[in-house]
Amino acid sequence: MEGSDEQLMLAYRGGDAAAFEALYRKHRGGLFRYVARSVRERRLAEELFQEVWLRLIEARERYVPQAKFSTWLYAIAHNRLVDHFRSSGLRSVEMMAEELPDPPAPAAGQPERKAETREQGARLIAALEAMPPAQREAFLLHEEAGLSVPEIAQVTGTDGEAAKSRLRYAVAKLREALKD
Amino acid sequence: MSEVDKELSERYRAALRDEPPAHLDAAILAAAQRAVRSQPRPAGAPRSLRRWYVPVSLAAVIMLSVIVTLRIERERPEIGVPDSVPVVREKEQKLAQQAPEPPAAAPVSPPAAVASAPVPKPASVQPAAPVFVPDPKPARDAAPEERQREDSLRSADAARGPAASGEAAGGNVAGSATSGRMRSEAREMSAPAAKPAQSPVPAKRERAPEEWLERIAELRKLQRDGEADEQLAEFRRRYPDYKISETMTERIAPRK
Repeated sequence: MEGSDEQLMLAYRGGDAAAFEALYRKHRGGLFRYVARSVRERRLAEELFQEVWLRLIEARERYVPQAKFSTWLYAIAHNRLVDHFRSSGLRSVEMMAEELPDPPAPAAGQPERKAETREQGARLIAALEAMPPAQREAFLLHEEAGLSVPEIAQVTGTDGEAAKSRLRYAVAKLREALKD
Repeated sequence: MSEVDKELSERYRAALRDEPPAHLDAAILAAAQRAVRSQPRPAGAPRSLRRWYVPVSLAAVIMLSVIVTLRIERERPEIGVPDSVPVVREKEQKLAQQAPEPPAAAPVSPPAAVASAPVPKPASVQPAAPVFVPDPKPARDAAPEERQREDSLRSADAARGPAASGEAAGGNVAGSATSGRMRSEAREMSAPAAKPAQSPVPAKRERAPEEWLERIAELRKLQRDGEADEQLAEFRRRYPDYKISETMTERIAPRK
């Protein structure tokens, strides 16, 4: 199914289930990683991920394309995460004990590359987990949702300068981690 | 973002490729389909018919206006004749004296039903006076003639001076008032069709998010946590992407 995200969402609002499927296929991976990296417990991540989509389904009739669809989707996800942290008594994105599975292995026959990728992946994950939640969220929104700085600010309810600063810090820390 | 960031982005994507499990995909897609199936269809005609609404409405308004105008034109003499006939006929006589020749066209003969109507006729008046005989022609044909008549009457009035106008006040003014009233009635009858319907009762106002959050904060303050939680959950369902301020978050957050 063709069309922009906004058109697809409007089509779904009008009753076209195929439009929703196209939207879901497009955003499922990014949104899942955004949620999973924010809570780190896979089962919880799955639960929250599902709830975000259910909230979107429930809110479909009120959808008005004032901004990018992804901004709206990730704003819902951000709010769901905030609700989760608030109900858990956490003021920010605190990490749970259970680890996410290892990243998928690269193609066979490239043992050196495989080892390098695994090592880099581990370093990236470690650096991502070590950084302050707000910076991590800014990076994830940029990488997974493809949001610009103003859009990140819109989703997280901050001003553009703060969003820009968070993203810059996050990138600097990840680059540092890859140098080691 | 710079080139180095592009490299970082590629490495990040190579390292982290988590995907939601298939059973979750199936559950979410099924929920989306269920929601669409249970969605109430908009009431009213199908979309293909909706595009005819405006032209059909316009046609109906125009037709109604024409019918009302025609009806008023036909009914007018019966209302206006008793009061205005003597005065107008007197004017007609004066006009006839001033005019060098009578019009070439024969006066329109009245329909049988109207001709037999008991119209009071003074002895001095000729029976075939064309002015107030009902005209069976449509309004648009009759209108120019009527305008001509009114113009000539006005000019005759002006020639006779204020005394004549005062004399006419009893009958002709009443007649013109009657016709003016009929015109305004015609306008009133046709106007509502063009005007948008105004609802006497304003639509129910939807609760504003800020107002709602204030209510939740009040519930918290009153230690009615159960209700506050319910309201908050409902709020989130209603406004999933609404940004709650830090201050408000603290006020509506459950107490530890």
